[in-house]
Amino acid sequence: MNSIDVRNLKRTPVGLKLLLCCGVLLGGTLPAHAGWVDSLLGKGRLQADASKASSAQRVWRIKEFTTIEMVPREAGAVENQQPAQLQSDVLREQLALVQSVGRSGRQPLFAADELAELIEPLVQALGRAGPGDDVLLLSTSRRDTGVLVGPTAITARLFVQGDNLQFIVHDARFDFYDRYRGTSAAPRFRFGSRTSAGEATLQSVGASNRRADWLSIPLRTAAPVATLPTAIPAASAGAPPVGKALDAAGADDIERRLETLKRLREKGLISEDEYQHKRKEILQLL
Amino acid sequence: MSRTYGLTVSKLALAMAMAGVIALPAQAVDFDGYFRAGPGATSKGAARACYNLSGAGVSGAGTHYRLGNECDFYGEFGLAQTGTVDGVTYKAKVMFNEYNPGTDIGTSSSSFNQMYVEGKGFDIAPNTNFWVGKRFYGRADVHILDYKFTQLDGVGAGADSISVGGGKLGLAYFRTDNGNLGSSTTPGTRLNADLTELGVNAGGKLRLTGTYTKGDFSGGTSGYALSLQHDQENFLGLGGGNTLWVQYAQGSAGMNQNFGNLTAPSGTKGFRVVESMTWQKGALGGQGVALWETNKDATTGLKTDMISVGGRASYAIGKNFKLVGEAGYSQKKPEGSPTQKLAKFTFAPTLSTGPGFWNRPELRLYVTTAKWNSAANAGAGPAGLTGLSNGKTSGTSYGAQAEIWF
Repeated sequence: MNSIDVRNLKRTPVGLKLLLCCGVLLGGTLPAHAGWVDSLLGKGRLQADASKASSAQRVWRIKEFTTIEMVPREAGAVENQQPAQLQSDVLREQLALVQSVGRSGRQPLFAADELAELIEPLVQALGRAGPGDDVLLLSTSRRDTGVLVGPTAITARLFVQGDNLQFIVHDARFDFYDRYRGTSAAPRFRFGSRTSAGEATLQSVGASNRRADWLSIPLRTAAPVATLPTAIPAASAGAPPVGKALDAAGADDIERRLETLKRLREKGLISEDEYQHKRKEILQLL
Repeated sequence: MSRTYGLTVSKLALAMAMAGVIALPAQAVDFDGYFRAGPGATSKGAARACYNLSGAGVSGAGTHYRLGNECDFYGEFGLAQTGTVDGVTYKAKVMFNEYNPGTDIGTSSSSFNQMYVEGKGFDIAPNTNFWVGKRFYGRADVHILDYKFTQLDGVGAGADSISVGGGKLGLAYFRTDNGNLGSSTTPGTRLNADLTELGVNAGGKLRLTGTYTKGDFSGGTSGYALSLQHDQENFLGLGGGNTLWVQYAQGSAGMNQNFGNLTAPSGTKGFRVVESMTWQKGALGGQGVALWETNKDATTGLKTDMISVGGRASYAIGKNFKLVGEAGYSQKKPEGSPTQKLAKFTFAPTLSTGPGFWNRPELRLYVTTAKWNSAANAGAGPAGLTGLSNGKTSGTSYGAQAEIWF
């Protein structure tokens, strides 16, 4: 990082230096889809492609640290309801609702661009995981703090059980980067666990808390399929449109959400105004 | 049998999500880097001075206590993109740097110091990571010395993440032309085997690195090196870590497991033990180091011993303000010559984004004072240890510096 071999340095024209600087700045600020590798290898060439993903794939490496990995289920845990085919757009919407509660108040757990990168690999992983697998998520991002600030990490475990997506977060903002850069030592990440609570406190109007660090995000079974599909279907396929008249399962969901909302108010995590506003919105679905 | 799910989302939820937290395209570019820069001065009519042992025998590398003791500017800026194609995950990275040995902006130099591609998930070996290019590799350093005691950097090709005996094995081939634009006359080859992540005790991991080098030209020599590195997390419960290196090199191999002198005969040998720990307990954080090293140059017959002890500590007065101090003592003893001695101390009030020792960026003011003996002046050459040709054996420098990594 900090030492160089001066013998290898060559004088470089000022114009080239300027070009290099511009390249870096552009590369760092371009929209996510305009990566420089795209221009070399073809746009979208490196995008995670659900239809081509190897069925044996167990690791999805997305960025320098950001990785999704299928691992054996935690010892002693009951079997998961996987493989589970989730709808990417709805999963994205649900995870966008998850908030982290910390010293500086509440904030969305994920940044928008961060979530956009995670959804398809997550859908693939949960669609390929078996009953004996959990899915680990390590997501590092600067989350709108600027390109000159080091990233922090979200470390989570996901699995489907009880027709719910179980989402356990050990760290919501693990500040690993400075020490990693200072020591060159590989950071040690710890993921959410069924048996021991992590550091994170989560809440979501779309899910209920099983523990401060553990959200149970409701799912509705749309249509069982006999075999693992080779392609992720269109986002709306196989599930009733959101907002449609609710069946009994939907009413149960409403009840669960109202109970969650009430708990959040009782714990002082949301204000009375927020409680009333969100309660009204949920009740409008009935 | 798999199930198809539609997650339950309320209208409120949808509205919130649609309001701005969804649907950006994937594939952002990773941008990382480092730089340090700032003005400094020592005395009237002279360039800023820094205080390091140098000269014949052991180079003095690994004894450079850097806080308030960097007369250069340096920055490096990297771009990387990662993606998956048909189950194979690729990463392509480039990085360039900017270096200026002094304060003036007109003498800086630039180069690309990384350009490589790596990939994992190939069907022939799905758990092995393959790479080719020019890159930083296998680095392990002590930050306050700005020295990497293991540094496999170079132009090469290799495979790593190979599961072996509870650890991960990396194998790499490197080649150097050791010259410029086709006029090379002293090319060399290096092979590295790097076994990492060997769990040996609670929170402790062992790393074993082996190196073979060969100068592929008339007069070129071969060499080999071994490095043992033990990393302990949360050492003594102080919230930091500890690293111990024991390293040996012979012939044309370097103790940092890179190329050494490609004409060094087999009688050239080096051995060192380095101990470094970090800590962060409340407002008090820091890093300390102790080093003992001995070298024998078979060409000149010169044997040199070196020791160094030092550390940097930071104490957070508040969230954004730290008092930082760094002290170091080094000595070098070329056989048959007087012992060269250098002591250095720096005090640096520092602004930062957080109270921790490692929090960056830092904006620091510094005052550095150093004392050394006449043997250190003589060992450094006619201009003396500072290069100022004034014959002095003490000095004080001051300045401001920004340091950031991202």
